[in-house]
Amino acid sequence: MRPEQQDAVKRFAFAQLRYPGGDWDTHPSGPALFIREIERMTSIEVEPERREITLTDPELFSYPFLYVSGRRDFTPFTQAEIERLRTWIEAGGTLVADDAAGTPGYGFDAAFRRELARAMPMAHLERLPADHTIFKAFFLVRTVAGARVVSPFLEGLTIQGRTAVIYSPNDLLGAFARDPLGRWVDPCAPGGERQRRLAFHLGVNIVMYALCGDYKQDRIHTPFLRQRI
Amino acid sequence: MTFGDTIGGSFSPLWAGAAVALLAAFAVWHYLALRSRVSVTRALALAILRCTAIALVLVLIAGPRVVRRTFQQVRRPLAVAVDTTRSMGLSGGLEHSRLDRVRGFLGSGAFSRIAAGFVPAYFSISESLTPIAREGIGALLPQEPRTDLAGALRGAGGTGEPAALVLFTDGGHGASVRAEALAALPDVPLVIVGVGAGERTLDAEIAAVEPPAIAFAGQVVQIQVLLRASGLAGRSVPLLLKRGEQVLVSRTVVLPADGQDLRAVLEWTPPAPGSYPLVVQLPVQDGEQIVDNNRAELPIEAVRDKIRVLLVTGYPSWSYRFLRGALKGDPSLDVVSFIILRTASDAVDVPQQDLSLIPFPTQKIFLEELPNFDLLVFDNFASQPYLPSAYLDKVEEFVRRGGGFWMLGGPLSYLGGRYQQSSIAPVLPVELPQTPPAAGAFRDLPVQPRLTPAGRNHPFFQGLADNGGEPPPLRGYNVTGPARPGAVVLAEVPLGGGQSQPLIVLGRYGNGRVLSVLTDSLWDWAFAEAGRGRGSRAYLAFVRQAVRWSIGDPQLQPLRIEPERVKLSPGDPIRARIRVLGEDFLPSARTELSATLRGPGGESRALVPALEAPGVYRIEALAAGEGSWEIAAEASVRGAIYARASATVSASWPPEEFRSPGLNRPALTALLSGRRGAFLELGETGATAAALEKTLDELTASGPNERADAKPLAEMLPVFLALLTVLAAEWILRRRTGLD
Repeated sequence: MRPEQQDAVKRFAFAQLRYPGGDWDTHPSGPALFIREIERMTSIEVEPERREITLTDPELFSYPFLYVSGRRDFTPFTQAEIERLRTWIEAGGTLVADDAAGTPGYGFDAAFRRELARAMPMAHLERLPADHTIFKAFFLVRTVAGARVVSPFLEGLTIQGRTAVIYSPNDLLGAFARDPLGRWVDPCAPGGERQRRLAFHLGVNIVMYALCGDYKQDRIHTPFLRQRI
Repeated sequence: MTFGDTIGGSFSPLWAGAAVALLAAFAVWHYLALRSRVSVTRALALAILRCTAIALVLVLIAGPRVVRRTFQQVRRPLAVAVDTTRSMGLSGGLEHSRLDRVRGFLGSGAFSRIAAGFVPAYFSISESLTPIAREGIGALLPQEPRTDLAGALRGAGGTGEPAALVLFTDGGHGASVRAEALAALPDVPLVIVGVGAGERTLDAEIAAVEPPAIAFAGQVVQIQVLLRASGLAGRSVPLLLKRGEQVLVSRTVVLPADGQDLRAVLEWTPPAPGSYPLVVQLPVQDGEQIVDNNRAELPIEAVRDKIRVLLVTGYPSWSYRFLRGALKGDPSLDVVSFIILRTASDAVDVPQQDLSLIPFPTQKIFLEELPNFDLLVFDNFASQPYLPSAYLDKVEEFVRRGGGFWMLGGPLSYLGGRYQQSSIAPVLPVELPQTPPAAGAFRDLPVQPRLTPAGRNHPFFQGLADNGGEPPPLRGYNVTGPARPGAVVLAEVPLGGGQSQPLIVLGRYGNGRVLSVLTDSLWDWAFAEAGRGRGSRAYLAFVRQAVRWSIGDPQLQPLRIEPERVKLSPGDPIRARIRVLGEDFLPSARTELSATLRGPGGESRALVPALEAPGVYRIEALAAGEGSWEIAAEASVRGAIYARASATVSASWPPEEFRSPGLNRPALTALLSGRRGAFLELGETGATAAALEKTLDELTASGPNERADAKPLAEMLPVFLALLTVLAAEWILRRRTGLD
C-alpha cells in the first residue's frame, strides 16, 4: 500500500453469490488467497475480505463483480431474483460462474445454465475465442485451467460487446484453496503446480477484464501484443 | 351579333325511318284493299289521307321540338404582361435592350392586328402583376430588382378571365419555380414569348457552388464549383476562394464554350473549428456586362473531427470501467487510455514476455502527442513517478492553450497525488493546501451530495430528472481547499456547521476548461442507480455533457447568437438575439456583453446590444452591402472573457436576378408544364406575330358564343288542326263513296 493512501478503501471486492439449496461455498478459503495474489501481482486495490451477497441484497448494486460456484443443483431463483440478476448484468455487472464439480450437464452446470437462460433468454453462453481480451488482460494466457481441466476453453455471454457472464467448467477457485495449515486442499490435475499457477493467471485476467473491459484491444496495445503472442 | 338561325328536332333517325317504311307499306296495302271496292282515284286519295292522319298522330306522340339557335361572335380579353426586371435592360450585344425590343413588337402593326380580335389589357410583371395603360408601355423601365413569375402569375386570376395571357420575359428570376407554385396558377392559357435568344453576352458565371456536406477542422474540404460562360470560351481566368479580401485559394480555369458546363474543385483546409464566411469569385472580364454572377457566397461551418480523449488512470477500478464504457459508447469520441496495471512494487512470477503489459509511453504522449488531443483526463492518477515536472508543465501549457482537462477523484488524485506541489495546481478550480489534512486526503464514507443553484440549472445534470433533480449518494470524496475565485461549484458535500467540500467544480485556465470531480464513485450514478430502477441516464448524461463542455461545444456555450434571418434581401436589417448566461448557466447581472459586426470587406463596427430580458439581448444593424456579415459577441466578467460566439448572415441582392444572363428557357418551359400554353421566342416582328397569332387561334378556338331555344312541336296548334282536317276529309270522302 502506498504511503499516501493510508485512508484509501480497497475498491475491488470479491463478492460471492450466496443462494439457497446446493452448495454455494465450495472453497471457503479460496477467495482470500486469490485476493492476496491479485493485490500482490497487480495495481488493483482490493477489499481484503470476501463479500457474501444474495440477489435480493440491497447492496447487490454496490458490487459489479460477482462470483458464483457450486457442485450440485440448487433451488431455482425466484422471479424477482431473476429480474434483479438481469438488471444487474445489463447495468454493467460481471458474473463469473465456476463449476466446482466439473460435471457438464449435471449438478451446478445444469442448474446455472437453467437459471441464466431464465435471466437472459435472448443471449446464451458461447465459447470464448482464443483472442478474447480475457486471455491477454494482464498475463498472456494460452491454457485454460482450474483445479481440473474438464474443458480447454471458457464460455461467455456477451452483450453489446461486453462479456458479462464468464463460465469456467474447471473449478477455478478450487486451485486457490488451502487448509488451515497452508496446504493446498485439492491437487491440480493433470498439470500439477504449473496448472495451479496458470489458474491464478486466468483468475487475475478475469478480474482485470471485469475492471478494464476490452482495454487491451485498444490500437495502442496491438503492436506490443503482436510481438509477444 | 346574330348571324344564323336553324331549326332542328329530336327525332331519332332510326325510328323515323322505320315509321316511314311502315307507313309506306300500310299505304300500299290500304290502296290495294280499297281498289276492288272503289275507283283507283278514290282508293289512292283515301289511302293518302289515312296515312297522313297516322303520320300526324305519330308526330304528336313522338314529341319533336323546334330548336332555334342564335350564334354571336364576342371579343374576349387578352392579358399581355411585360417583364420589367433589371435583366430586361440588357441588350446582349444587340442594338436595343430586351425591353425595347418588346416595346417595338407591341407597337407594331402586326401585333395590333392580333390585338384587334381581343380586348387587350396590359400589365407589368416582376413579383406581381400590375395593370398599366397601353400608352404606359413606352414608359416602362427595367428596374425591378426581383422576379417571381410563378408568384406573379397567381394574380392572373384577377385579369378578368382572359382568353389567354401573353408573357414577354427573359426568364431571369429570383424564385425557384416550384411544383406547388405552378399548381396554384389559374387555368388560363399561357403564351410565353421569350426575350433574349440570339444575344451575344460576354459573361463568366459561377452557376453553382456545392459546399462539403460536413467540414472538419484540420482536414481538407473540397468545394465543387460549376462554371458557365458566354462568349469567353477558352479564356484562362483565376478562380478564387476568399475570406473577406484574403485570397485563401486560387486556381486557374479555362472557361467553357457557350452552353457547356465546367466543374472545378477548390480544396481548402479550415484551420480550426468555427464559421468561415467564404466567397468563390471569378474576376470581372473585359466587356462583361453581368458581374453579379461572378461571385457566390459559401458559408462553411467547420467542426471538430472526432473528439480525441486521452484517459490516464492510476489503477484498474470501477470508476475507470464505467467511464471507459461511457466514453467508448459515444461514437463522436476517439479514446486513448492508459492504466497503470502494475507498479514497481507488484510482483509477478512470470517473465515479462508472458505479460501483456506495455510501457507507458509518457515521453511520446506528453512531450509530443498531447496537443493532438482535445481532452486530457487524469482519473485517480498520481503523476509520480510517471510524469516529471517538465511533463506536467506540458499539461499546464496544453490547458492554457485551450485543451480540456479533467481531474477525477480517488486516493491518488489531488492531495493524494501531491499535485499541490506541481504546475497542475493553479490549473485546478479548487485550491490545494500544501499539507494534507491530518484525517487524510480522501474520505471513504457514504455521502449525500447536493447540487448548488448553479448545478440545478446546469446541463450536466439533466439526467437527474428521474430522481427529482437530486444527485444520488456517493461513497467517498477528496479533501481539498475551497473553490478558486471564478470557479463554478456545481455540486458539493455538506460537512455540517455550514461547511462544505466542493465536489464537482468547473473552471477556466487560460483558454482551457477544467472539470474537477472530487470523488471516485461517480459510477454509482450508473450502476447503483440502475439497481434503484433509474438506469444509468444520470451518469451517461453527465459524461457526455462534460466532454462537450470541455471542448467548448457551442451547444454548451453560455453565449449563443440566434440571427432572425440568415439570408437577407434588400432592405432587410440584420437582427439577432444574443442569449448570454453566466458560467453557472444562470442569467447574471455581472456579465458584460460586447458585440461587433464585421462586413464583407473586413470592416468592423461595434453593436449596442439592447437588453430584452434577463440574459437575452437584441441587436439590429443595417447590411450596407452584399456579402457575408459576421456577428461576433464576447461575454466577460470584470474584463475576463469567458465565452465567445459568432454567427454569419448573408446579404445578396438582387438575388439570382443576374445569375444567368441569357434567356432562361428551362424556367419558362417549367411554367408551362401541365397546362395549355406555348413557348415562343421574340425574333423578327413578322415571324413572331405570325407564330403568336397561330398560337392564339389554337388556344382560344372555342367557337362563337351560341344560344339555343327549343319548343315542343307537339304543342303547336297547326299540327292538331291539320290532323282534324285530314280526318274530316277522309270521313267525308268515305261517306260519299259509300264506305263505312
